[in-house]
Amino acid sequence: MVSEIPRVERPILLVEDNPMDVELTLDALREARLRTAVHVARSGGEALDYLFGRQQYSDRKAYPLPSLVLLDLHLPGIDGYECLRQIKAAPILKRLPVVVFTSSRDDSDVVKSYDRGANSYLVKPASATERLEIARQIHRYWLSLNLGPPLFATDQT
Amino acid sequence: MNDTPDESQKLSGDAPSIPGRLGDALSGSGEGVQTEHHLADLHFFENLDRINRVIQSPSDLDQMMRDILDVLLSVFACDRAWLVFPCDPDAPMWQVPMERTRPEYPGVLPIGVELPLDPVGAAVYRTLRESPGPVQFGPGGVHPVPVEMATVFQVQSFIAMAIYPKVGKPWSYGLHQCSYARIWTPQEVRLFQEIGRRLSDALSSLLSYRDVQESERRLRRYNLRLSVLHDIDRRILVASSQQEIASAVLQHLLHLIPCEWLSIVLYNADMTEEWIIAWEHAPQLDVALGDPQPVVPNQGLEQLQAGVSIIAADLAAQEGPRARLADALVEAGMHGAMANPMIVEERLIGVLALSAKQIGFFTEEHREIAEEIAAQVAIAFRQAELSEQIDRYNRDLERRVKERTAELERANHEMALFSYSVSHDLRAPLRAVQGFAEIIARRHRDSLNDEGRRYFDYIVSASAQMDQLISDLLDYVRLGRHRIDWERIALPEVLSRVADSLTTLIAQTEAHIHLAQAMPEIDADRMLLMRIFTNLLENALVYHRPGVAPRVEVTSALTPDSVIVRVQDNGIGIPVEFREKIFDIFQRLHSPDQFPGTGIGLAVVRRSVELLNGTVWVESVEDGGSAFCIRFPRRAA
Repeated sequence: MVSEIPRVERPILLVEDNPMDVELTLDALREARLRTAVHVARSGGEALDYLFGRQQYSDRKAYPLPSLVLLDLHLPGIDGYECLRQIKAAPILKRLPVVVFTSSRDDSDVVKSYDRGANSYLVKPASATERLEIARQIHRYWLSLNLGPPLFATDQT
Repeated sequence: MNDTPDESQKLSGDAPSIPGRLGDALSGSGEGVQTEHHLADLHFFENLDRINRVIQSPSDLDQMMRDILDVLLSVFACDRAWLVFPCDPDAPMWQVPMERTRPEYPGVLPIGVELPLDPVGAAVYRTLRESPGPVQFGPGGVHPVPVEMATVFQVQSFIAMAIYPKVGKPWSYGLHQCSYARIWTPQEVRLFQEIGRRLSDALSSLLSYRDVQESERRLRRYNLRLSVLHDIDRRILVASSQQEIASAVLQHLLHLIPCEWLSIVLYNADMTEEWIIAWEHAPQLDVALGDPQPVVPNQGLEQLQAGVSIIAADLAAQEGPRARLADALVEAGMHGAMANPMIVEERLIGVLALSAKQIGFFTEEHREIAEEIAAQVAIAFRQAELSEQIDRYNRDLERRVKERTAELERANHEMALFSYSVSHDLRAPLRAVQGFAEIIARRHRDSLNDEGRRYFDYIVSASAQMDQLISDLLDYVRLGRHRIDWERIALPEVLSRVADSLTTLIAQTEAHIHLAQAMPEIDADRMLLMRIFTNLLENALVYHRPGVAPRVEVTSALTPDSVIVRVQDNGIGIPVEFREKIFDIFQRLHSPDQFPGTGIGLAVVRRSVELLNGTVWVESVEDGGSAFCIRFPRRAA
């Protein structure tokens, strides 16, 4: 029997290859007083390894499943769409909320993301004020208000 | 030769015993002169009666001539009886319309075939024409038998006279005696003359009748010709290729000129090769359709190039080098031939080439028809060539349009990739610049001196401006890919929505915006209309005079086919010399610290208006503001 990790203790997985964007996002989340741990994956491959508990992430205790994925679309190698597809196709991951967090306002990107099962689509802002606002909203909505799926849930018909 | 007993012996010995033969009456059998005269008169009238009966029996010209000449052979016990036309010493040609002979002395001239008149013949005809009655040649007459007639035709004596039917030229008729040197008796001469008179009358009526028939036949032929030409015209109209035209024409032409070989031969541009494009034929020739053959430059070709048709009585008798086709025709037993030039723009492009087994088959009438057809085909070929050119040109154009479209699509695709890449690759570093500058300017403000703070503020505002620039540029680029969604749109609805979206700016500037209520509907794209009026209203609010609240008025006017919308402000105005330039991308009249902006807004307006098939321009307003006018078509095309 696996003990349930309280949802709030589950980290956020930030999938982002640009180190400056990583720092800006982390800075904004800190400023929004987010206490949840954030694990950063620098590529699509790393994100999938983490989520599927492969390679260096095989220890689920050290690397527990996240409560939310913040996913950039434009990643080297395996891109955000492929991550999204694999997450939503895997029985243990498919209910995991994935928030696309990208610089593209392109309609085609928005449509493709939702088609692959994204739960939300946010555009990276240019100004600090907007970025802080987004960090607060993520904190308030996705991590507090929104009731996420329990771990190891089975399909209910 | 000239002694009478010998002659009479021959007469009684050689002449066939035909009842009523004039010779019997004249040879004498020991009875009295009175009786002889009586008998001679009796025979005279008896024989004339035979002629009359032949003439009066219903028959055609050929039959009548044949019958009369047969009677003449029998009555005069001569060897040949003949008719010649015309009896004209000046005519170039002559012919023997009919001749009857005793089996021992067959005819030597073809019936009904024109022959050139030689001086000997001309001399005979002159003699006949100058003489009021029959003329005897040979013994007993004043004229000798011409040498050629004696040797070639074995004529020893002959009698002939000119006769004058009321239709056409004079004829002549005559009798040959080959078996002996006959002396024609006065009785015989009188009978001959009398028969000549009857013959002349008979010819008059039959020739007139034949003329009428000929006219009728001509009329019928003419009608047929017209109808066939008409058919050919119609076929040419529906035919698309030269091949089709040629085949159709030849099939129809066969009805008008029923010869054994009809073909259309084409030449290449430098007249070195010829080939048959279509044929209608009885004999199989040793040439293939479309197979190029070298052109044989001969006299005939020169004549054709000069636009003159050629008729050859007999191809086999032609002198000089022959074309491959002519050789093949001769080999196949063809004789008569005709070639009619097809001329386009003074160049010989081909010939209508016909051939027949019969020598001298082609007549003047054939030539007339064939020339007309050849000219028609030449025109049709020219048209077919032009229409092929147009088709080719159209196909070429289609292909080029396809290529251009593909190129354009490629360019559009590249543009899309470019704008996509700009939005990410340019924005990512910019976001870092702006983000960290803002953090420093805010969070570490205290650890900076005045200069440091000022410079970080510059970085922050410059990067914000650059972000706006990238956004606007991407909007502008996206317009090129925008698919126009035409719908009927009420202008007041769009304008009030635009005004609503500008509420903050309106409040900030304390602006007053007046939208006319009575504005029409137009065919347009909602997103483009929104963008046009958002940009125009924004400009009107931003470019206001310092200390003067913006007043913006939107009105419309109708013309028969368009709607003109006018957005008028009381702002800073636009100098006349910049009224075109302001619509170009990145054109700004002011520095960013005077008025913010990227210089793309009006370029987007113009591009959007043009996408809606409209035009936009600026007018000045009396109190110094400007009025942007847009003409929209009321209905999309």
